[in-house]
Amino acid sequence: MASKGNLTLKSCNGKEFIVEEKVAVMSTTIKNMVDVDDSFAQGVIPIIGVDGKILAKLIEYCKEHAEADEDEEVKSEEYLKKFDEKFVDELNLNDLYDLLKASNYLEITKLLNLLCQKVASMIKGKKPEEIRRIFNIKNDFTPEEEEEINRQNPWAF
Amino acid sequence: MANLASLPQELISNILLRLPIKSIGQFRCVSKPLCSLLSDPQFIKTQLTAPGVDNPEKLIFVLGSFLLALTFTSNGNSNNDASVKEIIFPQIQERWENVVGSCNGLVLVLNEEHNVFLANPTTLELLEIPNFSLAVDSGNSFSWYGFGYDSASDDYKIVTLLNSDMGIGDHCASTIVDVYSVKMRAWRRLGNSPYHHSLYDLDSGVYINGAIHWLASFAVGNFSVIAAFDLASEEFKEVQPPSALDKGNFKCNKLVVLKGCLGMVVNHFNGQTDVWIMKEYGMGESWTKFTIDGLEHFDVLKPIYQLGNEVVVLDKNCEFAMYNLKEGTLRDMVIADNPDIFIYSAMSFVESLVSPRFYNQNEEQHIPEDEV
Repeated sequence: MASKGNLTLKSCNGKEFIVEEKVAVMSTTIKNMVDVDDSFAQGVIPIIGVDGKILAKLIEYCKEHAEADEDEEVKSEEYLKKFDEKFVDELNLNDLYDLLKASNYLEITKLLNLLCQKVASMIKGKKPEEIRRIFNIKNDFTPEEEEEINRQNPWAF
Repeated sequence: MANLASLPQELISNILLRLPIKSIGQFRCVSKPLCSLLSDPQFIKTQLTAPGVDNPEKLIFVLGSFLLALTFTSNGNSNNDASVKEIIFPQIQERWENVVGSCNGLVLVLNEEHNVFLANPTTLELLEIPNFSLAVDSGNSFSWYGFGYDSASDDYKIVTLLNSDMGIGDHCASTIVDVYSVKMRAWRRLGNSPYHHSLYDLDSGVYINGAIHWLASFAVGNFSVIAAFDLASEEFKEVQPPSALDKGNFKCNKLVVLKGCLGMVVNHFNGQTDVWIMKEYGMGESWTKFTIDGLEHFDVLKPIYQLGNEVVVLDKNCEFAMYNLKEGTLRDMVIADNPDIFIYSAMSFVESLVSPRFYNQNEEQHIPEDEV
């Protein structure tokens, strides 16, 4: 059991992480769980659908930001910006997806916005066929429909 | 392999809202689900105001009989302030005369026959607005236009002040107010305006804060007022003018919008032009002014758009000029490959996806034209 001020988070594949409460409650979902039911604060909080690797990444992010929120002197805005950039740059596409889904489910708004912005900058300016390839999307237009849709949107090309 | 389509819908929206308008247009061509998400009126509406979304503002104006869009140069190394490009709508050729309204990326334009068109200059969609059967152009009439968004009914409205009695001095004794609902696709006649509308100011109404503003005067006493036609209640109210101005006489001034604030321009024709800005809408005490001086006596200035914090783009004797608020300096705008451009009816517009036909088929309602 975690000591006072700490929470235990358990990933879907059974890995446990003991984290400070201020770090864990950067997730609105966890905050609501702890606020509503005291037993979560004492016991183990299951994080459904998030594996140990992704949970570790989430905790890494929340730790940096929770500490910065507490003491602006130690971690300046500029420091955090650099941390954020490095954090998203090191992710591969699959991890980026899993983190997106996890931060959406756990309602870690800052991280969610950062990740959405990252995906947006990756796909900005890409041609439709490139987007289909990168994201494994099937072209479900018939040739006639495709012609029509291209005819409606020539301004974009 | 990661699949964009496997993400929850709200995440896909959250990501795509952050894209530039052109990318969104291209993404409509990726697949059917993406096309319907990115064409959805709710997505388009959210995109207008989404946090972190910074849709660039451009200017639109008439040159000869052409419509042109001006894009500001963001690159600091360039010697040009801006570049211009003709706006060409597919499959339609019109000779344009006037830009009379702009709101949320839609602009209201008139052709030389005075037919009214609603256009999105970014997505190049164009919709001709039918003439109102009651508003007969006798050749002896004059119409002021206004265009804006009514959030109460989630509708875009065109307002015309129609004067067909040009004979009485410099004022229009009876001016009829007609309103067109873009959603209902119908005109309605509201009746007479309670004001005299000045024939000195032929400019279109100025849209801000859910209302369209014109300079006018009281029927009795001839005092000048800022008349605001509220698009939700469809009634006129008044906005307090700067207290320093002579109440009897500011009908020759011009109304503008700068940085989301209502403004009034006073050309003194003595080398100075005052620009009054109402910092907080509706608060009479929040009017402040800046003065542009060093002008020729005959210069006529009208601010069009504030670029960043320091520069106000002006229409100076029908040419673009730039006034630096901090340094108090005025200079001509440098436009790439176009040393001299004679501009008419310039307005700013924001890049958006809002369609002139933005209501779904099933939302469309046709009501007959009626007199109210």
